[in-house]
Amino acid sequence: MSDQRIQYDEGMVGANHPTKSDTLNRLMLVEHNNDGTHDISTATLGHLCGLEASRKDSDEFYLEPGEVDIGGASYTATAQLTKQVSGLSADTWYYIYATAPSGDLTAGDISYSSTAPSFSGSKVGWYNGEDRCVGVFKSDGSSNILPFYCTGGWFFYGTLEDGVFLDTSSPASSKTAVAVGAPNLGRLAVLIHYYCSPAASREIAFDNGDSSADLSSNKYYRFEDIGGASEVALLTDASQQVNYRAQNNPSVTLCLRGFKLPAGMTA
Amino acid sequence: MKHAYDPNSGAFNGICISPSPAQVAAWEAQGLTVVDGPPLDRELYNYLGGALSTKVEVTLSPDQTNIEADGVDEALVTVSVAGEAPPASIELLVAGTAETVTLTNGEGHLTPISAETPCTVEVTLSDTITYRGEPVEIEAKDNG
Repeated sequence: MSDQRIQYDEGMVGANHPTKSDTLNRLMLVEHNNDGTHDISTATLGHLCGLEASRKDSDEFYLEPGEVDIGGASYTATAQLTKQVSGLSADTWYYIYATAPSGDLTAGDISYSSTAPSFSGSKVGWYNGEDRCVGVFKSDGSSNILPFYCTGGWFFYGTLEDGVFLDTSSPASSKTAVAVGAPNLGRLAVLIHYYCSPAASREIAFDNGDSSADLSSNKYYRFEDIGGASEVALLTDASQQVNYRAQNNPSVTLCLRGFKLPAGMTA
Repeated sequence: MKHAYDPNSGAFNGICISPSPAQVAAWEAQGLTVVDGPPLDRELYNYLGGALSTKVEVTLSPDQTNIEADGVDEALVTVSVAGEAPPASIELLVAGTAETVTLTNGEGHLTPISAETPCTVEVTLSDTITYRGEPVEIEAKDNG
């Protein structure tokens, strides 16, 4: 932004002059309202606090109280919101959107769609048109909302089995990409729960989605002589894939335990 | 969602929510057939005859799970095979040894299990592709 101070060769003009621009107040009005208070919408562009989603029951979800900037203005939900859903498709990710209201946010200002948002650099948030995305949920095979909750900026399935994305007694023995079943929100930090059938000399290795390694080195997330379950944190590629390989044919079950909501969708 | 199965044995070997071409290739390199399928627990299904089918449920019911290790005390395990057309017999593994049980209307009994020394005898299904069921253990103890 250019220098807003009155320059030596400018006239001092106050507010509401019929033909000349206000130079006296110009500097103060940067990120301030006419009454001198801070311009909250400008200062908090992209702001999101609270509004964490969780499942209430098969066809309702909650949004916790919170505040969100939508298109440059700030809106508040002063109490927990309950949103009823209907007409869901099966096994589908849905994105929760907030539309700018005239007053406080209510359930009527909340919608959901299977259309993924895209990140807006100018609005500093995830948007579909003018509606800001504040969360996600997934439907099950019967088009009911799967158990889930969001906390600390993370989405977690309520039931581990709902996140299974690979279950096989014939795993790949060389580095292989596999989609973790997360929503279409670009690269994500994910928490993977894995189970391998026990036997000596069996191993499983993981690495991030963009890794160029073949996973044969001990530098990577490699678990040898394994049997049982554990968890590993990884970063997916832009298509929500990670890499794995298994040796000596363990039965392998990989579950998406949860993922970090991306920047612009969490406080 | 993709399913991977062994076309020779009918075993349901894998399920993946959105397999990469590399994952499909890895399965196919192992001789598996890859097809589209719904989300489900593959432990409950097979691909016998190339078609997705539920496994037949088998229930093993011992009259007692603790016996005296004296060669006399016995546990009698009843075998129940579900379905409208159960087979005439089914093979089980008793401490790793195969035993064929004759079935009448889906029901039969293993040879009574006894032991002369303390041990644990596990009874499991031999064919886990066609059938599913929980194993049982008979524990033989020397209670003096």
